Amino acid sequence: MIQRVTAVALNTFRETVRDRIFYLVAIFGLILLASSALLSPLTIGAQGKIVADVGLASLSLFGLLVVVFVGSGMLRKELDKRTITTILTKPVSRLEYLLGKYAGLTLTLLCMLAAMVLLFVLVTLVTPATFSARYLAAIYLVFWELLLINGAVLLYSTFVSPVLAMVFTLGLFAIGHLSEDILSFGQLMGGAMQATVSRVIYYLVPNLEIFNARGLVVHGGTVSAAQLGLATLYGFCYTALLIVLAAGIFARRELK
Amino acid sequence: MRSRRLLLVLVAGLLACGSVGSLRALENVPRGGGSDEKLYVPSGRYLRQAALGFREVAADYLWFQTVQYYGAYRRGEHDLGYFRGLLDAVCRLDPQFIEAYRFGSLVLAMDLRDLPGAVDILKRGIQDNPDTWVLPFEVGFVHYVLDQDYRRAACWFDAAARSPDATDFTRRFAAFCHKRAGDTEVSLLLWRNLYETTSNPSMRDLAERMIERCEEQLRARQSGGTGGT
Repeated sequence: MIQRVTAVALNTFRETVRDRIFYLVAIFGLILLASSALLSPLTIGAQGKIVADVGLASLSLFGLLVVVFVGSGMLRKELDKRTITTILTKPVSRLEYLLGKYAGLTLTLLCMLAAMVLLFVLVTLVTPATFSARYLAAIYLVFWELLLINGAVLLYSTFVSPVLAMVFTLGLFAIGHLSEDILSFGQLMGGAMQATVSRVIYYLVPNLEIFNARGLVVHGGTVSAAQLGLATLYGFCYTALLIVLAAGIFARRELK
Repeated sequence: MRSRRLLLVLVAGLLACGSVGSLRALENVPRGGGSDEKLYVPSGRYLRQAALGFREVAADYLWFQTVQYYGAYRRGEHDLGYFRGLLDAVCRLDPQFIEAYRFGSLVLAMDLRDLPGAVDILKRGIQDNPDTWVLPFEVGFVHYVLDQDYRRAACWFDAAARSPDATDFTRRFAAFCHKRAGDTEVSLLLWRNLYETTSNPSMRDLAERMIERCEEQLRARQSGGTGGT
């Protein structure tokens, strides 16, 4: 099984590389340089903070762009080209195929993040910003957030068009960052029913804020081991659930 | 084929000139907006939700706007009417942005003559950053130098000295303030400390002016024979 998943994953990775996804890394570098060099006269008293803020936020944003734009069209492309039928006639199950697609995009993300972190470190060497080891914890959490989003886009792409998958994923990203507010609103409304409904919604939608430690680390705070561990567990469980749902839907899908 | 390519280049060149030309012409046409656009900066509470996971970058962007807005005020272009809104948005988006509280409180106290507002923004900062000595020290600074309320200033310097990251300087000041309330030399030391520790040119400029003023007062006192304590 692992061999077959790896083969699909490597193929997906090669495909994304051919799509020139890594150009985004160059844009990331330019944004970082611009934020540190061009904007420095405007960042009075806060240049280091701003370079770090922009660097960490760009890592997350570019990762999100890759997952949403590449992930949403991944299955459709193979369905349109009919390459999927060729693959599935071989001894590759639909679950293995989906896992391979997921792993391929994850590998692309990993390589992109590694390249961007390297650029980020280089930029901090020539600016007043310093790259602290604390940032690695925030980057690790960004990676888990992107893994979860990757799972969501995989799920959507099994039953809707690429454009809708993109819209749904971006919607989920927005809701995921507001889920704690949904809980607060429910409690503020007063009634027991509203509080229960809001709590149910809160547990249903992903809580992406638990993966956001960027502000904390930039201001010198450290992410506790408990937070890292629990966020990893949460990310793993939620992502696995999304992949299982995607596999369930994909298994019943008729491939024409 | 070649003439077609040449035509394409010509048309593209003309269109590029047209867009740059119209943009340059627009620069000279008076339009609405300007500093009034700050009127439409949404409240910090709303922005906090709207920025999703990118609150710190949104705060940085508004910080640029705040600094530029203050620069325009120094050039005499407006009366800092929307400064409070901008500062509030920055501090709500990034409650750990210490520099914003420091700079904002000084502008509120010195330029807008709003001492309670300056103290309020610093107190808000202290609520979100209880472990730093900088903000209680700034409250003491505002009370000592601008409000001349030495008793309150001493309390805040004490609070700063008790902070986990307090330096010798803060402890020395807490002691100074108790013994030498109202002393111009103490004010001079406070301004000098601000001058030396800030990387903000506007704050440094302000501190420089105040240092000169304090030194003048001290010289006048010495030539009058009263001498400093």
